[in-house]
Amino acid sequence: MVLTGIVLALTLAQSSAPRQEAPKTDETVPVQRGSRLSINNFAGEVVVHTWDRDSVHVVARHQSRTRVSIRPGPSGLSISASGIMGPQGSVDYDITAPSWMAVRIEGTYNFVTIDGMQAEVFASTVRGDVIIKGVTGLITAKSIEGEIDVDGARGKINVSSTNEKIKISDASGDITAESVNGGITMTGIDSTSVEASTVNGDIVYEGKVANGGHYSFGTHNGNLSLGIPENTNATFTIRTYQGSFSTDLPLEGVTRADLHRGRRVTTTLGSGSADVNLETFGGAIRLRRGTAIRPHGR
Amino acid sequence: MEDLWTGRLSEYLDDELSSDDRRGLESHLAGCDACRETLAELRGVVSRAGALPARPPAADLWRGIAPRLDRRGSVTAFTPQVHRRFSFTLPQLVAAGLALMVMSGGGVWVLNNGGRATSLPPLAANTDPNVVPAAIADPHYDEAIADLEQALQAGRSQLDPGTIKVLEANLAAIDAAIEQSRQALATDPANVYLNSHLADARQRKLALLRRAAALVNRG
Repeated sequence: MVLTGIVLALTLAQSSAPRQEAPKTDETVPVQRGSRLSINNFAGEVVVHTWDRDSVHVVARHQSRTRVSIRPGPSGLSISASGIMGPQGSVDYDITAPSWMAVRIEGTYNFVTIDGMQAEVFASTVRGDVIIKGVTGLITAKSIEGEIDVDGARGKINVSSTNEKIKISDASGDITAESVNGGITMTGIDSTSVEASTVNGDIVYEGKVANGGHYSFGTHNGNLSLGIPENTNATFTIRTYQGSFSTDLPLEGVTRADLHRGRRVTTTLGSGSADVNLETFGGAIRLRRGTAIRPHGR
Repeated sequence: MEDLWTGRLSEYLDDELSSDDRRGLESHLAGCDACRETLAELRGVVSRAGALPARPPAADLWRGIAPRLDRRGSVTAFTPQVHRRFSFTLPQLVAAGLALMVMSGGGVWVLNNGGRATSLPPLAANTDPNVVPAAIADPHYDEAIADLEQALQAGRSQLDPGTIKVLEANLAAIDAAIEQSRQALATDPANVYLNSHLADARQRKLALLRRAAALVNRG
């Protein structure tokens, strides 16, 4: 009823005004190499993709009383919107930018997709998903209520979602992922440094464990599932207070009794070169060869 | 031009009219082009809205609606809000800084006392009566948490009620983790893992509250 009421109000407002097509901003702005792109969008969607021209093409769909501002400045290009007679409405942006351009996107009810940038990207939302594909560079994405999906990234990845899941796939470089109620799933990872932690969610890791690398996974109530190559050289430090541990890897010296009440247990695979830290207060720790999750139980 | 039936079209669509009213409106629709057109548009928009993924409402609507949905707040007029700025006092910032210093110190302590793998045999939990548990009580931390919670409480109306609910649920999840760690520590005070785990949970709560306070501040 509330939604219908809102829609009715919008419909009545529109029916009383002269009919017109949805306003659209369509502008191309030249940019200098090294400059940055900053977008602030309170509500709507921002999609950024790349081309090989040194200019930024902005297409924005919005209400007639919303004005989109595209402002070149000394540090780069800033894009935002404002209401002509009051607050702005939602704006959907489709932006094409040079791949070398660093991008910063902030908003509240904002859905973000960044595709193909070869530079630093930053995306922050309160309620809205963030999708980052094929980006190379420093990647920062955070949300309170939105999912984070990073695919095919190369670089330093730092992501957090307070309440929703985080998914990182086919990525390389240092990774830090953090949540509270969300799970964290990492597949196809090639990294020497991975740190993932959550309170109530599960953590899944499938990927390489590089010699000399550092890996840390921790949850309170969630489960940890790691799938790693059998020829991995790693030293595992395992701690759980009231959880469990299982593995099909040839690890010695780990017994159920050892793991009770948070006692630290160290065990080695191969030369033990990498450092893998696994902690959970009450969840299960599963260490597998190859695939982290098996379709039919253990 | 609006008539007395126009405002009831949403009830009609939602099938919330009495049978008499429904018949009355349908009779009216037969002779009112404007209402038929509005109803058709309404159906179209509802249909499109139903097909779309969840999308937040536009800003102008939401800022008027949000305060009315806040159960603890009184109904406010639907007018554009002037953004309130929230800032922290110097003592509050100092308290937060001190809390972070203490937490960092705790992290170093844990790092130097069992946080990493060593060649030593595994530690036995709570077997050495001489082992002193890490100090948990930290008035600076508690003050910082209290201040941030106060700031969040004071700025509730600046945030979407749904976001408030999510933040509170996540803070509750962290509090539960803290409480479980505390209870475990009560019976096993020298447990290195529990001390480390508790410190992490407290740090996480501080970080989330700071994030929430920043959202409030941003308005």
